[in-house]
Parts: sequence; C-alpha cells; structure tokens
Amino acid sequence: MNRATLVFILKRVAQLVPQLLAISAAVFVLIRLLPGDPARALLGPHATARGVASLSAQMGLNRPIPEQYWIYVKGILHGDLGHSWFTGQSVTTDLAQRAPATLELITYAFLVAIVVGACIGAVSASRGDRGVIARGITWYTRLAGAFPDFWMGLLAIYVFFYRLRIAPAPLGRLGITAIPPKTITGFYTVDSLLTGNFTTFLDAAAHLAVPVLVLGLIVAPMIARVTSAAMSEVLSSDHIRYARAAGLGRALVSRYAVRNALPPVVTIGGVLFVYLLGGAVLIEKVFSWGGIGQYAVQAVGNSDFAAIQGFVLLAATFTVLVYLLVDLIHLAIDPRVAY
Amino acid sequence: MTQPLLALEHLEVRFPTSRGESTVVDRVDLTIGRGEFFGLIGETGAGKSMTAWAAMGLVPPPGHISDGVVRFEGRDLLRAREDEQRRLRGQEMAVIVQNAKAALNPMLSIGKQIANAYRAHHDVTKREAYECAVDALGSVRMPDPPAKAEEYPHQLSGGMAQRALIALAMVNRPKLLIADEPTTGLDVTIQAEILDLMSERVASQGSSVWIITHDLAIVANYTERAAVMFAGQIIENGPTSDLFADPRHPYTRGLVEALQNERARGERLKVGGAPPDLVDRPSGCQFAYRCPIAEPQCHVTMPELSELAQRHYVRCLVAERLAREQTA
Amino acid sequence: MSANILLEAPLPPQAVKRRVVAYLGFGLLLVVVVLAFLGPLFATHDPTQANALEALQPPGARHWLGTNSYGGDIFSRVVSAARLDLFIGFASVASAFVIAAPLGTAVGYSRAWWASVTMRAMDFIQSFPVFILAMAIVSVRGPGTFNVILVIALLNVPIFVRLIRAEVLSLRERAFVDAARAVGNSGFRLVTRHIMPNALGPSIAQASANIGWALLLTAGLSFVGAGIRPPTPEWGTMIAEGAQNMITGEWWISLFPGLALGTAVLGFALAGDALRALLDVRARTV
Repeated sequence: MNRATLVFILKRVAQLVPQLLAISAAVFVLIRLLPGDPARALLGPHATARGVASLSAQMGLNRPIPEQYWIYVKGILHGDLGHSWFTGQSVTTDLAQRAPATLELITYAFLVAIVVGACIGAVSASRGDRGVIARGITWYTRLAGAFPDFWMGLLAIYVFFYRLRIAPAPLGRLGITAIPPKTITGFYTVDSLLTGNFTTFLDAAAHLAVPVLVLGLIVAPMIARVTSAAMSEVLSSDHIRYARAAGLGRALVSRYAVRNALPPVVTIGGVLFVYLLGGAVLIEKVFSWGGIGQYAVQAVGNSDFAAIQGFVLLAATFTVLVYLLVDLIHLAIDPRVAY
Repeated sequence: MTQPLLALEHLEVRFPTSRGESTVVDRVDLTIGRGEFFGLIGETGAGKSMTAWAAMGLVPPPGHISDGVVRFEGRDLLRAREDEQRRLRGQEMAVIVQNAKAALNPMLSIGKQIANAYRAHHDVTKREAYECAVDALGSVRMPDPPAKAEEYPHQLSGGMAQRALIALAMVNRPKLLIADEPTTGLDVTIQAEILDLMSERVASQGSSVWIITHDLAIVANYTERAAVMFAGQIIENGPTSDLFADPRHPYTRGLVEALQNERARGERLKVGGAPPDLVDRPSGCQFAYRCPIAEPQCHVTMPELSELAQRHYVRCLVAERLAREQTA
Repeated sequence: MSANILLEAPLPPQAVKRRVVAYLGFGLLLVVVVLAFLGPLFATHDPTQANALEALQPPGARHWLGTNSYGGDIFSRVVSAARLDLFIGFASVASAFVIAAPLGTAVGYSRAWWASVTMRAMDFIQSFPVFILAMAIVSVRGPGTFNVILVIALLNVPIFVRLIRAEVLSLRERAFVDAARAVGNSGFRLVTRHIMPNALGPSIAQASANIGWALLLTAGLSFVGAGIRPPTPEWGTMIAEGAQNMITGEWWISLFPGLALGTAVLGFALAGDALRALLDVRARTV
C-alpha cells in the first residue's frame, strides 16, 4: 500500500468524527424539541416526581446546554443510550438483542436486490430500448416504485400464506414452538447451520423467504437502473471500442466492461443498503419480525423517547459506516481514487 | 503491380439522423501498399476517421457500412468470420487514436493492458506477456519501462499515454498501423518524436502506416503518398511530392497555399466556407458551392476520380479539362 | 431553421411510445384528482361512519369495495382519503419548492461562505435514512396533517435546492446574464428576473415524482402510527386497518387503498417523466 492510499484512508476515517458528532447533536436537539420537560418525557407515563428529579440531575438539565450535550456524548461513549420505560431495559440492551434480526433480514434482501437488479441491468444494457423484455423491465421498475412495500408484503401474506399455504404465518422469525439456535452470529440461518440444526434452518429460511423477497424485489430496480446505465456507458466508451480494435476476445472485453461499470454500482449498493433499513421498519411491522424496526415502531406508538433516540442514533451511525465502507471499496477497486 | 496491403473499394458508411440518412463516407476507393507511409487529409467532419474505423469493420452504431469491400492482403475483411476478423485486428492491423488516455482502460495498469493485447494473439503465459509489454514500452522509448508498466493511464502525461498506446498497438508487430490524429493536442517536440518513432517502424519492420490528420505539415514531412478527403469523398490522391508541388483540385490548392502562408500550421483546416450537408447532398461536385473556379457543369455532373498524371488522381471536372488542354 | 425541422420531421417510434405513456400518466392523474375533488359526491356512504352490523363485508352491491372491521364503507373511504393524501402531497412539495427556489438560487449564485455551509446542512439532512428521519420528527412533534406536511417538506427541500443550485451554477456564466448585467440590471433584479425563472425547469419535472414519493411517505408514516391517526380516512391508515385481516382472508380492506395509492404515485411518476422530456426538448432548441 502506498502513501497516497494510506493518507486517503486516514483522512476518510477521520471524517467519521465530525459526522458522528453532528448526528449526536441532531438527536440531542430532537429530544429537546418535545414540549415540556425532557426528563419527564423520557420516563414515560409512569414517571414519579423523584424519578424525574433524579434523571434531571443526571442529564444536567439545569446546566447550560453545551454541558448537557457533553454529558450526553459521554453517556453514548460509555454505551449508555438511556432507559426504555416500556421494556424496562436499557436501550442499548434492547437494540443489541434485536439488531441481528434486522441485519439478517436486510442482508438477504440486499443480496436478492443485487443479484436480480444486476442481471436485469446487464440484460437491459445489452438489449437496448427495444423489445418485449425492455418494455417489461421498464414496467417492472415503474410498478415496483409506485406501490408501497408494506402493502406488497400484506398481499404476499394473503397469497402465499392464506391462499396457497406455502408460506408460514407472518408471526416472526421462527414458528411459535421453535427454539432459536445458539447465538453465534445472531443470524438464525447461519447459527442453525453452524450448530447442525437443520430443521431450525429450514424454519428460519421459510420465515425469511417472503419478507426478503418482497423487500428485495421492490428495491431491485434501483440497482437495475444504475447497472444498466453504467454498462451502457461503458460498452459505448472509447476504451472498450479500442479493446475491440486491438482484437481482444469477447470474454475479456466483457470482463473489462464489468470492471469499469462497478464503481457506480457499488455506490448505489451503499445507498440501497441504507434505504433497506428504512424499508425494514415497515416490513418488520407487517411480519412481526422482532427486530429494531419493529422496536422503533413500538417506541413511536408508546412515546418511548429514549428508545426512539437510541434507534435514530443507531440508524444514523449505521448510515455513516456503510458510506465509509463504500468509499473504502471504491479505493480498492478503482485506481483513480486517492490521486 | 504487387497486391496492395489494404484496398478499400466503393466503401460507403451511413448514419441515420432525424433528417434522414447521412452519407459520411461516400464510395471511397483507396489503396495502401506494403511498407508505405500514407496520409489522409481533410477538415473536421470530412469522414477521415470513419473511413479508418470502417476499414477495420468497427463503425459505431447506429452508423453502418452500407456498401463496399475492404480487402486486407486480398482477403475480404467485412465478410470474414468473426474470429478471423478479431485475429486481423490487433495482429495485422492496429490503430492508435488522438485521445490516448481515453483509449486505455482506466482500471488496469498499462503493462497489464499491453500484456493482454499480446496474449490475445499469442499463446504465452501471463509472465511472458508482461515481459513483452515491458519490452514494448522500452521500444517506444519510455523512461524506466518496468516502473511505468505498473502505472495507470491517469498517472501518465499526454505524450506518455500516446507512447503507451503505440506500444500496445505495435506489440503484435502489425503490418498496418492506422494513426488517427495521433499528435493533435501534444507538444510540438513530442509530436516530432512520436512521428519519428512511427516512421522508424516503417523503415525497420516494413510496416505500413496510415496517418489521418488535418495537419498538412505532417503529411508533407513524413508521408510518401497522400489523399485528400472532402464531404466523405476522396477528391485527390497521389504521391505527396506531387500533391504539394502540383495540386490539381482547387480544395487541395487552397490547403497547400494556406500551409505555405503558415496559417494552417497546427490550426484547424478551413478553406473558406461552411461545412457540406451530408444528408441533402447537392447534385454534381460536392465542393462546387464554395469552389473559386466552379463552372456551371460542376453543379450538375458528379466528377469521378481520374488519373491526370502518373498515379495522381483528381476528382474535378475543371482540372480534367485543363489536363486535356495541356496534352492537346 | 432547426426548430422547423423538429416540427416537420416524423416522430421516431420511441417518441410515439413515450407520448402514449405520457398520456397514460396524465390520464391516471386526472382520474385520481377528479375523484379527490368530486369523490365525496360519488361516495355512497359517510366515510367516517361505523356500522358494526355490516362489518367485514366483501365487495358487493351495497358496498362496492366491501367494508372494514367496524363497518366503514371502503369505497367511500378510499375516495375520501384521496382528498387528504393529495392535499398533503401537493402542500408539502409546494412548500418545499417555495422555500427551495430562493434558497437554491441564492446558494448557487453566491460564492460566500454561507453557501457551502448551507449545502453541508443539506447533505446532513439527506444523510439520514428518509423514513427513519421522518418517523423521528413526527414522533417528537406529534401526529397530524400539519406535522406530516412539515416533515415531508423538510425532506424535499434539499432535493430541490440541489437541482436549482446546479442550474444556477451553469446559468450564471452564460452570455445572456452578462448581457442583462451590461444593460444595467443589478444583483437582485438580475437574479429574480433572469436567472431564477430559467433555473426552475428541472425541479418542476422532479416535483411531480416527488409528490408521488410524498404520498408513499405519508402512507408509510400513517401505517406505523406516526402520521395521520384513524379514523380519518387516509390510504396508509386504511392499509394498517386491514393488515390483521389479511391473515384471516379479508383481502379487500387493505387492497383497495393500496391500489389507489399506487395508481396515484404511478400517475405522478409518468407525468413527471413526460414533463422532463418536454422540458428537455425545449431546452435543446434554445
């Protein structure tokens, strides 16, 4: 690794600090937008006078704002995101318990979207604007973007569970009587395979199938569009034309084209992964998934502001980290970056 | 006469436009011999580059070759099988273009690209091909070839990128090197170096070079034969010395005079007038509308290329008439 | 001469296809808008009325699209919801536009420090996952139409600001601006009279698609209980009302509001595409 690359990585990672500070500041402001006493709001409907006084002192609500902010940031750095009055646990614990469920869901949805989207995009790029296939792809893109994903999820439940009886009931990640596998990664599909528990694996996969497909197929056109545009542009570029003029074989020229079309696809992949987190919130409600999305919805319904605060912080941090990863991947695959 | 290396017969290239079909290359006849340094001159939009790409069978869509034959060493290139065409390109015919950085793949080091170009036509290992690539860079006088081979196109200067491109084109020792405006935009001293490099290849390897340019000085100093294009047609074709000493076509004459007045040096060529309409072509001579010596019959009858002196062809009715009067 | 050619030349097949799709888009929109305005006239029942005796009826003669779990007529509710949803969509995007037009123009024209600070703020807003940010803000401010409009407007402002700024950046270097300046137009007049009107084109085309997204966002927020509260008819809340019933087979409760929503969004998207194509051609002949 040469110096320029190292400098780039360090600079980019250093950018995390102001980004995370800005996010924490925004969330800090968010809670204080509430009418009334923040401490009372955080403690919920069962707040006692003593509890409010104690929390107020802890948060330093009588101190100047900058100091309050500093107390808040210190808390975060120690892993203290507050206390959910609804679950009775610390928000950190709540999120940690539920995060793997959401991560498993959006990771598989992401894979579906990438595979389907890239294939459609590649086909679209080579076929151009004509033909039934191109028209079908255009309409798929339009319809997928027009109908809400949670509604599609409900329809899928009706068709595949109620009518066709091939999907399990939308009541979470496993059947009601099933026991979750031993926690290694938090992904039920992975953990059950690692512990040799094949029945649980099938159960988890069956429950994942419908929500993953709904989310993935709705979002796939985002990837398809960028892949198609990138491939078209590359295929008509000067250097691909020149590669043909140099007599390079078809397979090699295709590999060249894919390699050159990759950067924008990586970017949209990052955007997509972040978008899926928002989508997961809605889908988790439909399928009673028990992830952080459903947690957030519950929190909103219960005015559980500590939980909401923690969730937003986590989501925003997730976004920042995903974009950092995207930049690092760009550095690895594109020699023009870092110069 | 020995068989020419490359022969274009009635080559025609058309592009669809919103107004109809545009004939960008209009029934072009051209031959290039073995070991010959040939020049093709014309203003921007005359159809020079398109002729070259058509000769390789690589006209970009939606353009298409609507008529004509391309013979390389007597073989019909356009109707050959695809793998035969692929073999000819790169191995027998190679091309270098104006914007070298755009022609190189930004994602690969130039060493790897040259190696790939070599491996496409020779059965060697990756390491052997890479060594050939480094040698090729040395032969175009790149400083420190092994280090340069690891660099990427965006790291090179314009002149270096052009050398890398030449190395890529020449690594397979093609019989014909087509050079489409290879020195435009480069420093004058670098221009000279690159052109010297190319003529050295002609001398040492017996390759032919087909240079396409708007810069008459280059044609005057390096080529043996040259042709002038206007509105997609060849309007004059002959030995370079003849062309400059005795230009027969009024367009050529205008160009040569402009060169002599040193106004055309390195600038876009223009012999006073608007570019021709390639969709709604006028009847008769395509140059007549801006020709200083046009006669009434010029606007009616299309002149053909006729040999007015030893291997010197001209497409002009007035020039023909003058030639007849001279011999009479 | 070139303009005439554009008018005279026959349209290539792709353009004809585009025309058809554009008409489809505008047509869909027209249907939705008419229903929204005149709907209550067509409504067969009172949209907010409950009637336990007629609960969970499938589509039939009396209730064209069936009834929900407390007997509310789906058809009347869908049509009534159209009015609210379209109002929210238009109001939020229009407000965002009204704020973004001067802001985007100012940020694009000025080279001062605050311009880049503003753009950083725009970046920041856009760095949060859209739905999560909306949910968070509404949860803090409380549900209701006004807050939903507020949040969606906030999310749309950076989009328009970016588009307008990009146009202004390229416009400010153009010849006609120098000409206007030479004739004596001062800064403010120059910007408002000459630059801003020309910069708004792409944003107007984008606005149509954004209204569609606003509809989806409103429905999503309402679905999770962070938007419009029941029993006010809104497409998202109606889908939520019918969510549990999907498992028991009463498909009509959630289906029809979702269909209406998707149709409206599709109409706005197609209309936006058509507008963009129209403005593109116009821009090219200038």
